[in-house]
Amino acid sequence: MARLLLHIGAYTTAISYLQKLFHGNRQLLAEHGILYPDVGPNPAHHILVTPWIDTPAIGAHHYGSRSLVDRLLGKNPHEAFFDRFVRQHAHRKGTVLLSAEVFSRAKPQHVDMRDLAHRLAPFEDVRIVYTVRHQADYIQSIWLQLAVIGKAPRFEPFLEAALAQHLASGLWVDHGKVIDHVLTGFSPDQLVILDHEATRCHPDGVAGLFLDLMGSPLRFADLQDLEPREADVSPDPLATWLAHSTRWPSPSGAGLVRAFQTSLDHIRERHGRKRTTLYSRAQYRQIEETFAADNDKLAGWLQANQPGTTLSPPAAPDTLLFREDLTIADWIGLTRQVAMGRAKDGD
Amino acid sequence: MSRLIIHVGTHKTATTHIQDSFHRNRTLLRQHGVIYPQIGVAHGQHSLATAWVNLPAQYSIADPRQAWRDLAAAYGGGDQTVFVSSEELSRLQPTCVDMADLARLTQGFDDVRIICTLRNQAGFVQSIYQELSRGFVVGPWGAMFHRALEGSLIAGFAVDYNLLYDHLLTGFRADQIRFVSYDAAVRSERGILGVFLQEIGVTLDDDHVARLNAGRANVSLPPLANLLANEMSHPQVAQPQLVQRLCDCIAECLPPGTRTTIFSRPEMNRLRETFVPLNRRLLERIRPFQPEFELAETPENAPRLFYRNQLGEDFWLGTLRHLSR
Repeated sequence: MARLLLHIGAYTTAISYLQKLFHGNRQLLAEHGILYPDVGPNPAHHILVTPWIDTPAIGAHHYGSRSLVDRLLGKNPHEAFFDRFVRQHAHRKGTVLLSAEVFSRAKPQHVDMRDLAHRLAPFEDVRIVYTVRHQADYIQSIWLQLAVIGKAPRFEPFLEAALAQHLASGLWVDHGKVIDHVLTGFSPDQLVILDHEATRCHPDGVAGLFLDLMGSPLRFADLQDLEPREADVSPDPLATWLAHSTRWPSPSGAGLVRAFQTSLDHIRERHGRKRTTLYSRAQYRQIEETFAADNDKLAGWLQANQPGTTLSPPAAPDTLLFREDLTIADWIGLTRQVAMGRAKDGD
Repeated sequence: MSRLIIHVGTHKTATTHIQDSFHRNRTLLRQHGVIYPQIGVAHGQHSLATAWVNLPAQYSIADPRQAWRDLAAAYGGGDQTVFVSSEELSRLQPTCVDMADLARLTQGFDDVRIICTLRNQAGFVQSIYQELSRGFVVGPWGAMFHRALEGSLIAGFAVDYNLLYDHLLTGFRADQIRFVSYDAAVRSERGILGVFLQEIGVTLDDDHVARLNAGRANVSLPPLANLLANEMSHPQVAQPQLVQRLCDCIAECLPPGTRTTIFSRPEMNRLRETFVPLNRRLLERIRPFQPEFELAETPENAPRLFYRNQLGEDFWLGTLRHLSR
């Protein structure tokens, strides 16, 4: 029987990169006992979330037809697909690797973990992998992802809501809540928590860490890496925020983001090449203070259940270029991009 | 007694306004014993400065030094006052008037006076910047400001007025040199024109002076919007549309009627720190000859100005949105 490693997120923890990487190398993985199934319309396994979370983007034809038994049992096409998938894969040798960050979504719908655990029972061993990152980075990344696809609201109200509700765009930013939710269906020894900053420091990168998790002899160097344009590199936070602030509610346009990014590359040279952030210092402090208790609780859980894993703190403030650090000369440089019409969308 | 009054500027102290008014009212001035000669094509007598100062071709005359001699020959033996005006006479670099030579050329007059208007250095530097940026690339503001502080010159004109006084004294005696405070003159009841008419001995009633004062020349662009437009456009010339759009953005952030300045508050403070001691030294030197003269230390409205460093994130984001429309 197969072992199952189900990677459920979090969003913006290199999960898209891993999905594309493993999908592109599934033949090699399969030759080494790791099955990364090619199901559904994307390189990930979002189709498997559909018994609990409506995903209209996945067309009906992906689910195939239900058997008579499924119909008689009253299964909808999503449930029938899921159970058929388990039947097809649970008896095989090796490890089945599934990845879909939607499994960790909180709202508007969430996965029923008890039901999920029940449906996955035919696998020999089920482990859930969830990567945590500090809320300062996580909230910013979620907003940036929304900005890239043209769906970001104004940042200030987005942050205020995240701090008040511990939710951002329907995702728990208090990772303890994700863990509590997963534990409604699975036991603590089935849950593997990774720290995003620590995964980036693994000698073989995040992919190498996953290969280690599966006990594979494969190394990252054995895999064909993605082309740079496929790699979903995070946009510069400040460039994205500036473009969004300039054009909202209209889409920012990639050209404007690029123009600001070019300007910021020069500006960063004047500021010790610090990374940009779209927070103010006060907001950064507020995030740390808001989630301090939750993160202490998470630390306690990790200590008890997965000693050796900790949540990395956010970047030290003196390593970041905050919005209020921009000087008049910096703003003039940024405004020049727009004033001189250098931002051309569609470039 | 024949008198020659040489108005040497400085730049940006309403010199064009005085020259335009005197040009339009030559007959009136003559009726009051003042000759305002037409020399060259301009309203001011800039062509006389070309004896020593390189100026654009439109100011050229055949023999400017002879023109000075001709004035002395024509009026030196009479009892009228000749008034000539050119702010280029106060230029120090790259070329400057040979004051000793000028004194020799004008010794045919019984009495020769230099009259020089000085304004607070912040107003002067800002006005020079505004003038230079009309249709030309001025270069980064920071470098220009630094040069003005360190070298005490801007665009070849003295910001440390002691340098100008030293230069004038190379040809004229201290009792021949008279200073006018621009800041006090513009605030006075009869305006700067009234002050000058008084200096040259022309008595006109208030209504007459008010009519002469109307229609000031050279209205400047809003300083801060102009600076920002220039900095954004460098190395190209700022387009008037950009200046206007920035004006609109600034206006949206400020109470109506707020005046802006190109300076940051720290820059204004540095100007004061640098030039107040130098101005005090100048006043000590002038006091034996002009005890009543005072020089404003900063613009009178300095506390109410809106400074460049007060521009906040809201302004910049609003400007980005405005400019991207």
